[in-house]
Amino acid sequence: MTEAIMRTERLNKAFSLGETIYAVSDVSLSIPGGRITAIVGPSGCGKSTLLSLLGGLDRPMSGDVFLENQSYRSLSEDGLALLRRRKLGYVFQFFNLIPHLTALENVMLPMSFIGVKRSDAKARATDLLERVGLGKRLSHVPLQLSGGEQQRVAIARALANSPALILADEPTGNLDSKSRNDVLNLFEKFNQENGQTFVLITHDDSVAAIAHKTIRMSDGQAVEDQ
Amino acid sequence: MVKLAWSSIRHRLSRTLITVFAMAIAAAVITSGMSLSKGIAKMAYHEYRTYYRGDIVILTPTYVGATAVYDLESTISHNVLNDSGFNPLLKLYPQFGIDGYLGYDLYPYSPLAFEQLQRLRDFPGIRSVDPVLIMPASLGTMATSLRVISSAVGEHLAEGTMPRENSGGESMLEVVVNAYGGPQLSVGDVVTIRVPVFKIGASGVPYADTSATVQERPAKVVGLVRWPTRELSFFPPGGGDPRYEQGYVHSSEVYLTELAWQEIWQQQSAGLTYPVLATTLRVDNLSTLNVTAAELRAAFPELAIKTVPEVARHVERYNILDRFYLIPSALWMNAEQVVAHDYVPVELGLTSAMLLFANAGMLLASQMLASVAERRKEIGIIKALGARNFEILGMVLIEGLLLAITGSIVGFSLVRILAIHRDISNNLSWLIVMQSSLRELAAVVSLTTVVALVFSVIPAAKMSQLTVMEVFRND
Repeated sequence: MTEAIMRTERLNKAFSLGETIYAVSDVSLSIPGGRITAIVGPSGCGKSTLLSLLGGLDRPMSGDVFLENQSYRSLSEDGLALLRRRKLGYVFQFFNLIPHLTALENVMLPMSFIGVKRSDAKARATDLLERVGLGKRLSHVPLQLSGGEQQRVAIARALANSPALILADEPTGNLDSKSRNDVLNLFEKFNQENGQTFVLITHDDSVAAIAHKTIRMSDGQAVEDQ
Repeated sequence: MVKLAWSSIRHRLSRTLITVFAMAIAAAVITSGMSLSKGIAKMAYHEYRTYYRGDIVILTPTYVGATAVYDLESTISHNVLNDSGFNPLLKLYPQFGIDGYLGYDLYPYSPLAFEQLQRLRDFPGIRSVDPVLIMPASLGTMATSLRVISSAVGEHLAEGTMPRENSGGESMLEVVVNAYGGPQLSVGDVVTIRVPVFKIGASGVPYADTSATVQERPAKVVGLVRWPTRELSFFPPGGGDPRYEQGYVHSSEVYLTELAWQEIWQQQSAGLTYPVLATTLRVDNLSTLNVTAAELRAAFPELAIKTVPEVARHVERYNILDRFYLIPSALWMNAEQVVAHDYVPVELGLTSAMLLFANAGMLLASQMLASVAERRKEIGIIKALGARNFEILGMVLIEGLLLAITGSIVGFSLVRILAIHRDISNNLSWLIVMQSSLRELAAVVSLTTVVALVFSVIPAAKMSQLTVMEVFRND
């Protein structure tokens, strides 16, 4: 049994839209380290809200998240920011690269937050981009890259600071099938080669197929498959 | 963050160009303003230094005041506040403006005592003492003062005929100050100077005895100079409150031959002590001028003591601007060389330039605010990656600073490079030109920095307060 790198305790998050709607309701789960975990569910079931809570991008109404036994609740906003930069990586559905930075600069950006020397950051970013197959696209800005290429840059960026956990929100939702496969292969590759932990949020069961563990969400509640 | 800011500047090219252009215009105007101000102040300093023939002007308080306009055979018709070259001193010593005027009690001067002059000569740091001797007189019905001018005044003549050139080889010049409403004279005219009998009272104070017969002396006009004034105050004929006229009034100074002067002065004051009402001092070291002046003030509390740069600075604000165009370029150069020490003010033109800068700052702010919406996603991404609020704040401030400073350097360079070329072409030393240019650049960049910081704070705060979820939900 793999030790959990992240766990949640009775996590709740509600929105008031005339009536109070629980996007995440009493969710307690654990994410095993060195594995790929998929959180699967239909649109509107609370997956993305859960991901924002796991990623420290949002605060729960109640409950807590622990990453390597560090409680989010005990952290200030700045503390959460520091945790995000050091221990978490993100891959978004719409890539979310900085449009006026090159692929190389986008990957170097997170390293600048933790004070990595520029030359070291450049070397690591180059290496990561080569590993995702973009060694010849270093100086391209996002507009000059295809969707699949942009997502691969985003994966390289997420890996930049060797985070404990990478959260990917519908990482293939905006890609064609070839790019989708490329991206999934990359997740598997970095998981197998580096023991990188991934949490994939998806509504697509075929994406979830690469996961070692699947958590199904429905109406804000989570059920662990195994 | 600097990299991000710089990248954003390059990426948003139209915004960058507009903002840099606005800042450049403001910087160019403020640079021009500073140069203009400096030039005027230096010109004023140079001119007044020549006029007073020294670095420090010392006056007895009663000398600073109004001139009586009177008919020597009858009564005073009106009093005119002195609007000659000492007019700036009236502004510096407002308490003498009315109280010290020479109205109905003719010339009750309090002269500088011989002992005071001797102490001034012996004062540490003083190179020379140049007393101004003055005798009351009239030209027509116009009260005048006859003054000994021991050196050529040609240097400071901005308009009119140079006396030296018309004096037929006679070097000494004597002056009749015609304040307001005096007769129209031309070079070569023979005029009659009327001089009251001049006596020393029991208290040792010289005075004009109008009860005695007025002496009339012929004198030849060898030169005229017109001094512009912007304010004239006088008592209207027949009494009443003083009237003030604003405007551009020329007051003439009439220069007479040495012969005429000698006739008048020597005959009129034979056997009497000349009243010394003012004196100018030259100091050994211009860089310690203010220190010397302060020591003089402490040693001679009874006297009015001003440094010429102080007068010039004052003149710059009140009097000189109108005649700016009259100043020959040669004087500018002399002034540049004389005033190596930067004790001239830079206020002139700053107000309008500041307003322009504020305007540019507001443009910067509006551009940055407009980009808040455009950059929400970018900020959200950066925050998701772990940037803290103050880092976002810093990034936006750096961006504003880079835009503003780039603009200010461009604007400064556009204006200053031409001036540097002119200065170098006029054989000014590189050192002085570069020192002066760097000082101005530092001033412009400092001002720009303040403006950029002030006007970038609001957009920066707005951006730093965005939360990741707020951004991503709305996207």
